[in-house]
Amino acid sequence: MTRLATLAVLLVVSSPTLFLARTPEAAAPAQAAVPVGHYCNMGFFTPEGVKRFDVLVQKIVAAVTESEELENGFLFRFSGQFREAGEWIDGARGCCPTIEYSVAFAPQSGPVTLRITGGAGAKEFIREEFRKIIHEKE
Amino acid sequence: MKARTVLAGLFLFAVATAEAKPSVTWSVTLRSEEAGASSKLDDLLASARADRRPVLIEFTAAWCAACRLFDRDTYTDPDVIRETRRFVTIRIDATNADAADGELARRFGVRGLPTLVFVSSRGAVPASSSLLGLVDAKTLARGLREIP
Repeated sequence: MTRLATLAVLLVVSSPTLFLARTPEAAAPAQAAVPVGHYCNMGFFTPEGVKRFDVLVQKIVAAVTESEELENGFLFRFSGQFREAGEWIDGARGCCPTIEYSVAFAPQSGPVTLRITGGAGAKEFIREEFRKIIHEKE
Repeated sequence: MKARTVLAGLFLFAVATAEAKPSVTWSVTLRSEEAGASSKLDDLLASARADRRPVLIEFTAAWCAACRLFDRDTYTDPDVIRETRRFVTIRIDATNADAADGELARRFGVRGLPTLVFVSSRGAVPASSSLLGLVDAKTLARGLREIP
């Protein structure tokens, strides 16, 4: 009987959708504030531009060696030639015009550091847009 | 034995419903590149006007991160879900960027995604009745309430 009671408690605790979503207050998502005002630029890419950007995304995914979470965004480090990374950033900033991009080059042809940041709530938007290059900590 | 069966049933039900988060229901989804999308939209708007129902049009795309956050955070809000029930809700999928996107975008003054356009039950589209970009649920629910 005790085991059954324990099971019942576990069931209630592990199924918030079933037991809590009956009232509007309880169903409200417990997440970070919505990153208000961010949007994706609809007319920036041509169909060919989308295809080219997809290729560049694959390359930048492979090139990024490290990512770091900042208070207002993310930082990425990568090495190698910057030409295609620059083309990728051009695409990203055209498509996502509400956030800020800054690049720093280390001396002696060292790694490139890209910071993508923004105002209030931007981090959540950046996390969603650039999730392919974010190295989540385990 | 009976209690175990009930518990097992409850467990299976809980598992089946755990991922199903309530969200705004879309009456129709049109692909913007679809032939005649614009005239289909006209038909839907005329039908809504005849039924004296307001219309909510959303421009979205699969590649749009802001749209995914909208789906996740704003459309799942209970107030937003409740307010949209009296609307005919039309989703315009602009995933395949082409000339047709431009046509629909120009028609409704869409610059970016997501964009929401509100049409009153009288068929009017006031210039101020559109929202560009992410908005929080409170703002969207208030905007929906203000549309007659």
